[in-house]
Amino acid sequence: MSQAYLDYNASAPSPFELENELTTLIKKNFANPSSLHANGRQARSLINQATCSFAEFVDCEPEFVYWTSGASESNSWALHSAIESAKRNGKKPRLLLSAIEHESNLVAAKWYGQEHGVTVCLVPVDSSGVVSISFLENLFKTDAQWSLLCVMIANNETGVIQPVEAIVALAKKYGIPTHVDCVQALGKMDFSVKKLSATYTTFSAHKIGGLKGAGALVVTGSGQILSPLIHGKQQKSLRAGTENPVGVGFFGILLKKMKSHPFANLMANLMTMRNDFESELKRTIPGTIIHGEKVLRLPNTSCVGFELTDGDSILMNLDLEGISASSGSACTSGSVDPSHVLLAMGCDKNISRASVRFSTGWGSQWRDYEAVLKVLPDIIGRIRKVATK
Amino acid sequence: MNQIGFGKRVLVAMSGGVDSAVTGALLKVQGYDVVGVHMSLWNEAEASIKKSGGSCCSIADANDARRVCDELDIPFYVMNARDEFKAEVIDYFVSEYLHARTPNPCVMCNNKLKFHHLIKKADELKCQYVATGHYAKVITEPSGIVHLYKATDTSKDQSYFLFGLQQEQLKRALMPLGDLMKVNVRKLAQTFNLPVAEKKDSQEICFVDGGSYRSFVEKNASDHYRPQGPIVDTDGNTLGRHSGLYRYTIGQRKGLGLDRPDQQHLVVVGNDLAMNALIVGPEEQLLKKGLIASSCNWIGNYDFSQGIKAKARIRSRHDEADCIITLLNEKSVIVQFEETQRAITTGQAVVFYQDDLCIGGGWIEGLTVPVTTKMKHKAVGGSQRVAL
Repeated sequence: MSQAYLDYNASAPSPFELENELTTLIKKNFANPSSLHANGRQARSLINQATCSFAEFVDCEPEFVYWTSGASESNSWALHSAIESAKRNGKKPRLLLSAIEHESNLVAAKWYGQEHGVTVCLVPVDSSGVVSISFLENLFKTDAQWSLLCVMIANNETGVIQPVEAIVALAKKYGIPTHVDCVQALGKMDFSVKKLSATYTTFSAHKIGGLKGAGALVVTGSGQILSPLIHGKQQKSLRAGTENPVGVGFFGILLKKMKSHPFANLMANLMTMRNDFESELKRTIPGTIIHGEKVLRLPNTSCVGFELTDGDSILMNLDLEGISASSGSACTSGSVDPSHVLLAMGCDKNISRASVRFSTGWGSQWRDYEAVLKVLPDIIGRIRKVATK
Repeated sequence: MNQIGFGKRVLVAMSGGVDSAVTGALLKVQGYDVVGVHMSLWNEAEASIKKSGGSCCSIADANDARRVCDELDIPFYVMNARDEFKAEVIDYFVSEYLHARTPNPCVMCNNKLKFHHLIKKADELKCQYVATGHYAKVITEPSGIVHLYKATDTSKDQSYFLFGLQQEQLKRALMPLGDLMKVNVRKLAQTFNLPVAEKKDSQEICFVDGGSYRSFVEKNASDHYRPQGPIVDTDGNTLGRHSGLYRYTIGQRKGLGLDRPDQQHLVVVGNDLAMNALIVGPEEQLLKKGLIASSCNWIGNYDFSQGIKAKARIRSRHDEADCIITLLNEKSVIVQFEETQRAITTGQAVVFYQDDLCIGGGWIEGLTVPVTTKMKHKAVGGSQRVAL
C-alpha cells in the first residue's frame, strides 16, 4: 500500500528527479570547504553557487546569507543576536513575538525569559489567525522599546498569511528590529527579502524537498547585528562549524530548478484542489471547521477541526488507511498537546485537540485528497461514537 | 504456521518492556494485523532521561517500544493518557496514603485506566482485540462467560492485578503470555530479534522515580497537611511521636524511634485516623482472622447464598490462604480465614481464587475485629501540623 502523502508542511519530498545529481554531489564534495586544495575549493564553490541561487530566489544579497543546520537554529540565532545587540546598546532585552510563531521561536524566547530574565511578550491574533496590526500600533504608541519583533509570513499549521510587509514597515517606523520566519512561505508564494527588509529572515531546505540539516539566516545590512551562537572561524566567525556542502548545494540546485519552473500554476492548481477538498469535507462530515477559512492562506494547507473527536486518533486511523497527515507541528514523542496556534485563535482546547492538518505540494494529486474523503467520514463517525459512549 | 489471527486487527499495549514486545511478536506470527500503542502516563519520568528502565512510562521506554515495532514492522503510536493517569492513579495513590491506607496503584491502573482507555482506542482504530503482556489466561467458556486464570508461570502470575476487569473487557482481551514461562519469553525475544530481549524487568511503582513513595506523596499533596502525632499502644499509652501516618505501613518495625529494649518487639499494627495516632503492638496483634472488602468485582457468576470457599491473596506477593467469602451487600464481602493472617492492610486488594481460576476480588476496607487504642480523644489539637 503506497501512502498518500499530505504532510508537505512538515517535510516535502523532492519536486524533481535528482537522485543522480545528489549522488554526484556526495561523491564530489566530500572535502572540507575551508581547505585550500582543489577538493576543498570544489566544496566551497558548490556552497558559493548555492548561496547565489538562494539569494536570487529569495531576492537578497548573497553576502548576507548565513548557512545553518536548519530553521530552528536560524530562529534561535536571530533571537540571540537581537538580545546581544540590545545588551551591547545598554538596553534591557525585550522580545515581542506573535502568539502563533513556530515553537522553535516561542520555546527559545521562553527560555531566554526564564533563564536570562529577558522580557517576552506575545502579540495576539484574531479568530482567523491573523496577527493584529492594531494591537501593535497601539502598543508602539506607548511602548516601542523592543529588541525584536518576530512574525512569520505564513503559519505552518493553518497556512494563514500574515501582513508582514505592513508589520515590518510599522516596526521600522519605531526603530524596532524584525525577524520574519519565511520557512513555510518559501516556494509556495511570492515574496522578496529585499522588499520585506526585515532585520532577520529564516529558511529551511527540507520544506521544499531539500535535505534536513540545511537552513539559512539572512540579515539586512551588515553582519554587526549578528552574535554567534557557535564560536569559531567559519562564515566570518559568526557561525562556526564546517559547512554542509551537500545539504546546502542540493538546496541551491532545487531553488535554481524551481526558479525556472511554473510554480505559480502549480500553486493555483493546489488551491483549487484544496478548496474542493474543504467543500467536500464540510458537505460529508458535520461539525467540520476550517481554520482560517475566510482569510488569505497558503494554497496547499488545510487545517481542519472535527468536533467531538481527537486529532491523534484521526491521524492514527488515517495512517492505518495509508494516509500521512499531521496535527500542527510534528512532535517527537508522537503525542501532541493542543495546538498553541489554534488556542491563540480562540479555539477551545477540545477543538484544538481535534484538529488535523492536510498539506500538499508538487507531487500531490486529487487522488490524495480523494483517499482522505473516502475514509474520513467513517473514521470521524467511529471516533465520535466512542467519545459519546 | 498457525494463522488463527488472520485478518483480525489487534491493538497491542507496548510498554517498551520485553513482555509486551513478545506479545506483539507472537500475535504478528499468528497472522493478526497488529497495531502497537504506547500509553504515555506520567510526565515526571521524562525529566530523568538519564535513567532508563525501571519505570513504564518514560521517553526511553516509548523509544524502546518504537524500536520493537520497527523490528516487527507494525505501526506504532503513542497515546497520551497523562491526565487520566493523574486523575485515576496518582490522585488515588496520594489520597489513600493521606487517609492512612496503603494503595495498590498497579491494580488501580489496570482496573480503571489501562483497559478502559485501550479498548476505547481499539474501538477508534477498528481493532477487535486488545492484547497485553500480562501473565494471566483469559478463557472463554462454552457458556460465553470469559474467565480469568492464573498464568502457567505461577511465579510471574499477574491475575491479582486484573481482578477488576469486566466481562466486556475480558471478551476483547488477549494475553498470549499466560501459557508461557518467563524464561521462554526471554528466549522468544531473542529468537524474534527484539531489541529489548535483555532489558531488565520493571520494578516497583512506575511513577515513583527511584525515590521513596513518602516524598512522592508529600510532593503531590499540596492541599494536605502532614500531621505529626502520637505513637500509642492498644492500651492507650503514648510511646513516641510519628511524622505522618502515611509514612508507616502495617507490620513495620524499623524507623519507629522506639529504642527502649522493652519496645524493640513492637510493630505497627494499625492506626486511628481520627486521633491521628499510630498504633503499635507485639507481633501477635498483627495476626487477624477476618477482613471486610468493598468495591468487589466477580468474574463469572457465583452463588453466595451459602458463602463461598476460596483462597485469598491479601497482597500481590502473598501465599494464598483458605477462606470463606460471605456477601455483605452487592459489592461488599466479609472474608473469614481458616488461619490467622499477618498484616492485613487496608487499601490493598484482596483477590480470590479457586485453584487456578480467579473468581474476583475487592479492596480491603478493614478488619472484622479492628485494631483500636484506648487512648483518650485529645491528641489532634496538640499535635504539630506541618504544611507540606
